[in-house]
Amino acid sequence: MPWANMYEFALIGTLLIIAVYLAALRWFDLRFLGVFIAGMVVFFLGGSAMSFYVEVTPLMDPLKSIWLIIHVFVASLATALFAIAAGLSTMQLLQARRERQRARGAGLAGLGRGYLRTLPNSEALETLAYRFAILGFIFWTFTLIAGAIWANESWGRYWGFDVKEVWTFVIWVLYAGYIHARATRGWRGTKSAWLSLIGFAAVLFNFTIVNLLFKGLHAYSGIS
Amino acid sequence: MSNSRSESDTLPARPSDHVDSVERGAPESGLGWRAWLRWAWRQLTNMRTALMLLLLMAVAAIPGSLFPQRQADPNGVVQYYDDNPELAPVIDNFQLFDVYNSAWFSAIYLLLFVSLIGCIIPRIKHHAKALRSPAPKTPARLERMAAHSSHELHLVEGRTSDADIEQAITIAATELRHRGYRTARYDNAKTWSVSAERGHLRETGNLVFHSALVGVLVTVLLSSGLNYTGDRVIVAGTTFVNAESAYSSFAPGRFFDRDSLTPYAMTLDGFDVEYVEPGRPGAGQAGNFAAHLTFREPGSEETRAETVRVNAPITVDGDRVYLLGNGYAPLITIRNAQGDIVYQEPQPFLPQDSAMTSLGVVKVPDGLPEQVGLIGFLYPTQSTLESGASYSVYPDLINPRVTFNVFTGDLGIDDGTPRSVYQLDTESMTQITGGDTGVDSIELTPGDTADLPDGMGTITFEDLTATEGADEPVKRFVSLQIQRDTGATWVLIFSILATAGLITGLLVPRRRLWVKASLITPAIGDRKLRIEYAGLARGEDPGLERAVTQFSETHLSMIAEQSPSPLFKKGTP
Repeated sequence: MPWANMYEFALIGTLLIIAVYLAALRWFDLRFLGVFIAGMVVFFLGGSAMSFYVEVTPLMDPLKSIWLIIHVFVASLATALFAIAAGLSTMQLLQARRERQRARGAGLAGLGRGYLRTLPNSEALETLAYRFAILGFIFWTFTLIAGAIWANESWGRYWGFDVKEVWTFVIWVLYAGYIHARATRGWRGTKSAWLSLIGFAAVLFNFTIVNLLFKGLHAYSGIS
Repeated sequence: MSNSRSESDTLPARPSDHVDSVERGAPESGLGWRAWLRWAWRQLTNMRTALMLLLLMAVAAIPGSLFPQRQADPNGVVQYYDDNPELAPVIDNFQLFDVYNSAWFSAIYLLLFVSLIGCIIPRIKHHAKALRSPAPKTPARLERMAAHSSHELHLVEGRTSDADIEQAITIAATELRHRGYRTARYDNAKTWSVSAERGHLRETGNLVFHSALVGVLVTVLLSSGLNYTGDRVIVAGTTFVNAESAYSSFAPGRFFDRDSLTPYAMTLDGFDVEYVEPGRPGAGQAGNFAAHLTFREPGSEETRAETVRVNAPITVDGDRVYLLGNGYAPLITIRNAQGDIVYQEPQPFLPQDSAMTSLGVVKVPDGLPEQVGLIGFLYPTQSTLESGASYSVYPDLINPRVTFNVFTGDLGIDDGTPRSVYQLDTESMTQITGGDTGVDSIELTPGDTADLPDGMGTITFEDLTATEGADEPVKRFVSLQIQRDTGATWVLIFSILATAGLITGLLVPRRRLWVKASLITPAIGDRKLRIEYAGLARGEDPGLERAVTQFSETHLSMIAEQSPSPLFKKGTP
């Protein structure tokens, strides 16, 4: 299975971002997100090919487990869903700003970037973003639990506050916060969209900085 | 969101600042302490506080990944103290080496859980009541609902009775029940209606999720005191008896019963490992570790063979045995000047890198003129750098070699202070070979014997293929972790419950549907019947409008096809 190190995870993760996006097109008209998604995937692929490339080697013993497939697959699926949610939240923030400006009545014609006029309004974008985020959250919960079960088989404890575990937990809590924020008066809208973006930033941080610079048990980046 | 009195009875009892509920302010000044207490409680259990505590917990968890934690990385903490002797105590004061047991982190999650419990208990009560109460009364003006459609049907004069209209609504009610709605009929003289409700599972899932999280926390807090974790190194061919004193490290929980360890015996018969051959990608990478063990229960002669692998622990007497690591334990013999053996042990050398360059310590307290300590390196496949330093190029025993630096003086063990067998405290000792001494380090290949300095005696690196007919010149050891975790099963059960609750709580739509038939008697012309379909979502429900349209189409065709002959004709909409 091609997901034993960072490079391979990046490959599978970007593949899934595209797959989830294409699948989602069946139900929602998300074509406006195409450039964002394609751009992001090109950036991730280019970045990992340049910086994370390692030669294929036999699987390390601790990784030889059915849980590798389950844990890493759901993790990348959740990442893909969070990525699309983050894209939608970004659009939502831009659209909300445009709507605020228009409400102030400043220069009706030619205001803002043209393409925003063709996008759904910020509320519709928020609802869409939320739907992707809750699916991502469910898969992230799976990731946590599958990881804990595997850790119990492999390391002899289901939870030990390893750095990667900490960050997975932080991301889980951030998205839990996002879901609550949307149900809290005064937090729906722009504020909750920022939480979604902070959550996705933490996902990226967890994948890059934590893998490369932090010392922990999840030392499978393959980069020395 | 509308929130009339009749509706709120069956709606989830949400915190006052939930988007679906009515806002309440602070208590009026001049109220008694009870009111203030109630107000404070409501503050703690409201959404904004829960949200703040959630975000605070996320932020508070981060330092645990920035600083080494005593629980996950105790050596890292020691290292941090060595590297930053001035900063470390300050950091320690803020409990930053024990973030997840710290007062401030505990305060946050305990407050969060109190807030959570305070929020879900009234919701559980309320929900239990809502599950038993009928669907609420049909609102007077359905056109105000989120999804609504209206159709006018002509009545066939003289044939269509009120009973037929009632029947049409009954058909709607039956169909709705088939679709999983709970229904209630609200008929009067000129209108007939069915009120239907579904998706109580959403709130049920929500409550199950939150209760299961409380379950996870309580289980972890309660069970952690009853558990223990111990590490033990076993050299091939030797036996370990399960007793606290036999562990290299032993960490019992606060309420652990020390008499509950079963004194079984465990022998390491052998250890298998495979290495990726040189020249291939990932050369030297080790894999397929397998420790072959034999267990004997106390008071029994029967033995049982088990194999522990990575990712595949075994269970012995309710405790789990994990394979954590492995290494080499060269058999070193030291003789004094008279040729008597003063030391002979297979001493585990701890691996330092992926090519198994291993570090070990030999301590000889008695039998030589002075106490002697040796710090040794084992290179399984020794090679030499240009600088002359040795290193290992491959983890298997191709060209094994050990080097020793010899120290004399005080080993520091005479006063009974427990010392690690893997460390040599050289503070009150003098180095006599290697380093700056000008005397070369002792270097041995299997079977070699060398003289110790100052005519103290000799040291031999035994070759087991020669002395015992073994397959390899050096014995291997494994390090095992043995542990009891009484709460793990329950944590798993609660986690599964939480996930199931999460899925239903987030994805099951909660909605109401109404079908209402009312007679219109215009001044001139036929009597007509207006049928209205309306839907209202509670929480996220992308499929509401589709559901209402689809239901109205089904129902209209159902009543149009009623036998014996049409009672309702489609009129102008």
